[in-house]
Amino acid sequence: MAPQGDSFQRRVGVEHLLVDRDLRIVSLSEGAPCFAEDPASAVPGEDVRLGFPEFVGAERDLLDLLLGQRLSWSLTAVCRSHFDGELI
Amino acid sequence: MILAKICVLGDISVGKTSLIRRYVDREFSDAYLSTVGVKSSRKFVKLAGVHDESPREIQMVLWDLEGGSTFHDVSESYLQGAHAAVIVGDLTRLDTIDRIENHLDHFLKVNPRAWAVVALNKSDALAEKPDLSSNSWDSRKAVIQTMCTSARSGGGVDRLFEEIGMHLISEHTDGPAR
Repeated sequence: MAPQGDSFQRRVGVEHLLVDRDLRIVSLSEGAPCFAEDPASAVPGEDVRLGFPEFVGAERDLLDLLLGQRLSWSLTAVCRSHFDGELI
Repeated sequence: MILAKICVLGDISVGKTSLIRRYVDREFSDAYLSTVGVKSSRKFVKLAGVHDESPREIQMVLWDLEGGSTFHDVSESYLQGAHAAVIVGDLTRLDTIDRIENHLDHFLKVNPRAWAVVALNKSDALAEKPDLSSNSWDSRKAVIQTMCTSARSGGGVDRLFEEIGMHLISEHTDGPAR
């Protein structure tokens, strides 16, 4: 992503990561690992599904996006919490 | 590593969250908190398949979906892409068992190539072991197993998810059965 876009996203509080067609992380913004279930797995070269398990099962949809057969894919919200309800 | 999305479905208060908590966190609580929306949990397991010498690693992502006997469009987006489902009924409330097939139909409508296991939960609350010889869903090819479970005592819970793991391994080895 262009540095200009990156700077804009940071200003509006949006984090991002880029993945290749094998769902390996190519690059990610500074704050993106904070949203991962396992921040240590959210690093370039790793499978994005290790840090963000919500992508398991969405592989076909993501590939359709890449091939232009689908315009968008979204997951409205993800909440990370312990079972006692405490937010991570 | 085998990655799998498993949806846990069933009527309200049948013990879906408790089953996941028992399996993932090895805990049980009597305090009942209704699940709002969806919650996902993850479990890494290592299992040897029937024909495999070496164990395979599996990452199961368990989607705990808000219980209910009626279905909303919103839940379909959460079901999409699932490899399998655990359909849960409460042995102390027969109406929840009667609706197992409704949950199964709903799940298979979104994921026609997926499969399911049925968990008849709260088995610890029954004095006698229930008769599992004939259920309305027995003829359904998508249902690979029906088991009695107790999230409270832990009875049957590991075996339930182990069965899912074994089926995932055989799918990866032999390709989908259907």
